[in-house]
Amino acid sequence: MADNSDRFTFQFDGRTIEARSGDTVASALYRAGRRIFTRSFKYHRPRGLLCLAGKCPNCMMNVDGTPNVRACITPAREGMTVRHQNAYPSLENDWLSLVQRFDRLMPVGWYYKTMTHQWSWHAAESYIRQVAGLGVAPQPGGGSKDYEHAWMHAEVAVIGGGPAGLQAAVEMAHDGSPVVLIDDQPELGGHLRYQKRAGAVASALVDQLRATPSAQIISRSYCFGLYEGNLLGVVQANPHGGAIERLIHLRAKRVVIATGAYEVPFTFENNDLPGVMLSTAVQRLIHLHGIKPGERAVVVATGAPPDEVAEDLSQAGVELVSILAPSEVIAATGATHVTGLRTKSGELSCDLLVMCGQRVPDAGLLHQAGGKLVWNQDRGAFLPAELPANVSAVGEVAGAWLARAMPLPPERVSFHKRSFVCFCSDVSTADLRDAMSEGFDHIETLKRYTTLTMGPCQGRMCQLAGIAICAHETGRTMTETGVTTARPPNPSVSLGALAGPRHHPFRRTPMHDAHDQSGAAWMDMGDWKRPRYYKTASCQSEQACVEEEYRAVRERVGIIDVSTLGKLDVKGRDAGKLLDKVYTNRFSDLKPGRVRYSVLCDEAGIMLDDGTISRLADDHYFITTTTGNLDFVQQWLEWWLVGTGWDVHITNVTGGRAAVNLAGPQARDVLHALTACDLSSRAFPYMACREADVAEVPALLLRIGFVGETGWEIHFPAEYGEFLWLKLLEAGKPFDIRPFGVEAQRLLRLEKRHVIVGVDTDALSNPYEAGMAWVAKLEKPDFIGRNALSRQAAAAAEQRLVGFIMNDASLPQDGAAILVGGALAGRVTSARYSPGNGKAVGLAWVSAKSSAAGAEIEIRVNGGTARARIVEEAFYDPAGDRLRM
Amino acid sequence: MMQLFRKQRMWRSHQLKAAYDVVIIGAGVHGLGIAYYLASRHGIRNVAVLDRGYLGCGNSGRNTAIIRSNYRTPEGIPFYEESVQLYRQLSRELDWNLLFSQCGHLTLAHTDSSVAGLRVRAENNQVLGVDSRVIYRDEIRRLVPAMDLSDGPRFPVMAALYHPPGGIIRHDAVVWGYARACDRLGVEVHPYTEVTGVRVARRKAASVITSRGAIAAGTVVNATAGWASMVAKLAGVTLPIVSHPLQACVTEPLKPFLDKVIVSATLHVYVNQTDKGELVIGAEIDPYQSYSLKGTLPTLEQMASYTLELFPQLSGLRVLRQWAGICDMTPDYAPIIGVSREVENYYLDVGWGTYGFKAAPAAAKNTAELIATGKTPKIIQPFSPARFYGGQLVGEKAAAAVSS
Repeated sequence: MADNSDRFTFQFDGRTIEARSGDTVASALYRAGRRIFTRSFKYHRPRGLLCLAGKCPNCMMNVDGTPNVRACITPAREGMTVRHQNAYPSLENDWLSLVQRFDRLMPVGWYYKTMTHQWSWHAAESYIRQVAGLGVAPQPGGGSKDYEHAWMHAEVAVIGGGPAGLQAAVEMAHDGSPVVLIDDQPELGGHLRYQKRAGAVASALVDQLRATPSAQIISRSYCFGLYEGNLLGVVQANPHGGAIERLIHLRAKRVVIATGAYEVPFTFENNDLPGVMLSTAVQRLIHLHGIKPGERAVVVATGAPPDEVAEDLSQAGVELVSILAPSEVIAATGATHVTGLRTKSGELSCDLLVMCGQRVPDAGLLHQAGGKLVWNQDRGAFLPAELPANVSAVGEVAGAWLARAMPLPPERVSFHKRSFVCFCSDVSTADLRDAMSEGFDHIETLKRYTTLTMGPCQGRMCQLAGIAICAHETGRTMTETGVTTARPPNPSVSLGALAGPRHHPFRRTPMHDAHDQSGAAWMDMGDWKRPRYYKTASCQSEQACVEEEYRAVRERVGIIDVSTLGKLDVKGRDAGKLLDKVYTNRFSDLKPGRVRYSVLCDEAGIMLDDGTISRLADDHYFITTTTGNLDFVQQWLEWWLVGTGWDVHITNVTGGRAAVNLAGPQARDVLHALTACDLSSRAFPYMACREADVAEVPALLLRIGFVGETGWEIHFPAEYGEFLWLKLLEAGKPFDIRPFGVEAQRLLRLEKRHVIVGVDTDALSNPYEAGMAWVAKLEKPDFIGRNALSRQAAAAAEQRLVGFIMNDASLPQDGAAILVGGALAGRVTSARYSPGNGKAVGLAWVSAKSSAAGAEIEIRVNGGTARARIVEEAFYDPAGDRLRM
Repeated sequence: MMQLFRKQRMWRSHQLKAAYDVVIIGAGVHGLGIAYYLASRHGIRNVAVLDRGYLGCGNSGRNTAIIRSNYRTPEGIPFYEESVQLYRQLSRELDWNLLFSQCGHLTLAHTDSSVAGLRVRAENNQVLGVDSRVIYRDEIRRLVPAMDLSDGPRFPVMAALYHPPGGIIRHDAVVWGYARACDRLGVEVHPYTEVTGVRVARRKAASVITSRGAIAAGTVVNATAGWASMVAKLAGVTLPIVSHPLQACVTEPLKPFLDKVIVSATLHVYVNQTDKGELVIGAEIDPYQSYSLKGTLPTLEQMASYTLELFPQLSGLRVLRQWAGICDMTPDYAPIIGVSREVENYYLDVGWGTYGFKAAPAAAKNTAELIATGKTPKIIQPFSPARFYGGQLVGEKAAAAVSS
């Protein structure tokens, strides 16, 4: 009477498969009779279960749309959809398995030696691509964001919940130290779970650990990386129903690595046939899943382990045909499954070949930590010799209980095209020999030429055998041959887990909702959203809207949200000194209540940012930076402050302050309605600043004119952002005020020839060539970039930033090339149709010899060219009278 | 083709001789390339190429193998174009398939200003005869159907600079191909031969001290990357270089779904799918200076996150390996090629930042010409070390930032 309560089903290639609780996808399929689990990468050879531990590439399948899932460590779930991959039409009958009949035409590196004509490679490549790869990429539109990131700290992190890890965790947590144990299995105990002889020890240790209050156990989680400063990357599967994986950033004072060891196969002909399995895989099938792995088994082993394995097999009802030493084995036989074994003493018939292979320490993390691994001949393993402080290793990974299962390097290697070392990329012993005979005889070049260790198993199955064969062929020792460098992540980790929830935040100004209500068309500027222009009932196109906004500013009054400007509050006795050192202009002599413009250059005299700096008091300045450069400017100022001992405090007040620019011939009238501040040009001249209440909101008013009209930049607490914005709009109603966006602002400033650093300048632009010589005060004793700027001031300019006006009605795009006599002579940085001029105007970099005022240049427009004239002055109000009205 | 069944050593091992006409430090694509062009074009064959590790163990084997010539400056464009042309014929010339696939290269723009930046490049490319143009979503969708071109992402794709001749090459194969050709021309290749000093007398390098002994040299060439300034210091040559790590990673293989190289400066990431099916993902240089070849978790996370912005369906795809290379950055992001100021027979082919691999054939060929003839070919004149003393910076900085 079977109890069926733990039974459920899932779909595999359209068939219903019954599974039991505790099953993995692979164990359920094996129980249901499946023996071929995938086809190999290159020759499409049938491949079956080999390691049953997620270490080899032999059971990769598509699970619920995700390719390359290791079926043997994926718990079976009710209703899941599993499909095979890398075989067409089916696993049993794969047309591409024909390829292996031509394997003699494909010796190692065959693609380097053929198709050396560019046309022949071009023709062949697409076919080669089609047959390469493993799983199929999910369709666009899919993918999940259900991944989490978490952060943890621990005194001690123990990686691995086998007997050694458990013991270490119990001892470390004994005195109450916080200990975190990471284990990748559904249950603790490591190999004791399926190697039943010592099983009781594990449960006692597990109970002891669970009873220790300072110990925390994170199961079904694996550590993929040990980074600088003992930062561990840990991936926890299904931490809760809403998350596929959680990546835990675990920072531990001490790390104990107890990752144990895994078994690797022997190399002989057809060692990859389904039915050829590692002994630990067979034990897992028997003890964890209650599956009889075969009918007639041959065990290949040296030393003691076969007794235990033989006992397990006989208890499971498997007939033990023979136990052989690896040196006896010549080849496995069979077409798609093992049916027998050819040995030195004759043929044997079997359907299961159990390899008690060499156990290899799972030392990836040790290697990543910078540990030095040294070959140990007795243990048959590379073992940690020197470990960094605060990292230690215990158990099998450190060499305990390990014994050499075969001579290493081997006395004899069976070189055969079907004797596989690398199961991921079908690299055989013969391939390795051939590569070495061509001179790729160092383990690192051997790896790169044959792709050994570079597949999905990350070298777990093949690295030791590869080193051994390399040592054998070159006559070097294992130590001299060495290991390839291990890099994280190891084991592999999904892009989703690494990326986490993928929140890419954006910033909204305090007036965001008001803009929305006014019909804002949004654009991204750094992290910020800004209105590009406002859609209104009276305009149909962007161009029409921008022109309406433009006219409002030129003829009446407009208002723009400039809250995204970077805003730094700089206080202290030496604030002026710091600004003098970092900015090109002079600020120590600026009078309180005045504003000055400056650029900021690097040591090479390249303009990095610009902005206005207002002096509010003797020891108090207020800086604005461009929207995207705030962080940089703050860091730059702080960088140059380090070590000076000066009394300067820099505070980023960007988020705390909103700002608007109110501009136009009637701006004064609008502002006058809301403030008692005397706004007359006599009391409040151009480039002055005042602190005053506006609509009872405490504000800083700067009289500056980026757009070329009388105007005020008003900075005030962000919490009043929307309030004051609406108040100003209301006060402007009698004057038909319009909010304007970034596009209108760019057009307005372009008519004034005001440069936008980063738009009209690039990583090559200095103030002299940009026509802004006045901003560099070389008479200051020293400032950042002074040396380079002095040289540039004296040198002849190579190129110049000039204004141009088109001869005809054409409008060049930003970035258009400039030609002089047909040769490349520069580029347009900004060009717009100027309503004030009735033609497009713009700024452009032009080689100095072609940049004289009045000179004609050709600009590429729509594939042809159009002519333009270089203009020295601003396109609008060149004398700047309107700014001072 | 016949080499398919002949097993011949790619290069032989040699005892170090007492003297060579030219000693090249660094057996990557640059060093081996210089030796190859010296021997094949100028008949200078008494040459030794030294490396402290295996051939191509430095940035030649760490880069993401992207080839392109869609640069921004009038100095950069023809130079990289020459490199693309040399790469096109190199498989034939070396009789060794470098797997150069001119699959096309797309640089994405996600903001207005980056669209304008791409336009500058497209315009300059077109004027100088390089195939590149700005394309918009419809055409991008036809070329890269797997990419998310919706308005969903935080920074939706607005446009791309499409450069059809750009593509991918097998970087190790270039190293091996040059090394084999060098060997056949009589040049000696010496891996595991670390240079520990350079003896300079009267402003001339007399000999190179190595871990295997001293060798006299008529000419010394520094063709290293990552540690170029430290190697130069051995000869008393000071270089304006700071070194930053650049990280990359590779995933498990998938069936082909992406046959273009995708680069996004806004997202600091570039992605391509190899012929094997793996996705190779590269990042921007790390913001700090370091010589560490260990990767870091935050950068790996960033590469994953930005890759998923472009290809959200790949959330279950697993990363197999991350690594770092060290990039020697100059103040203007352009290389340093020429004779050093301090030592008159000490040549430099260094400072390649993030784009040394794609430049290798052109750099090597012209450097070889400079060494053989004493005259600086016009195409490398802008990269002379003298520019740092006269303030004549080249300025690929604007274009080269992420576009490896």
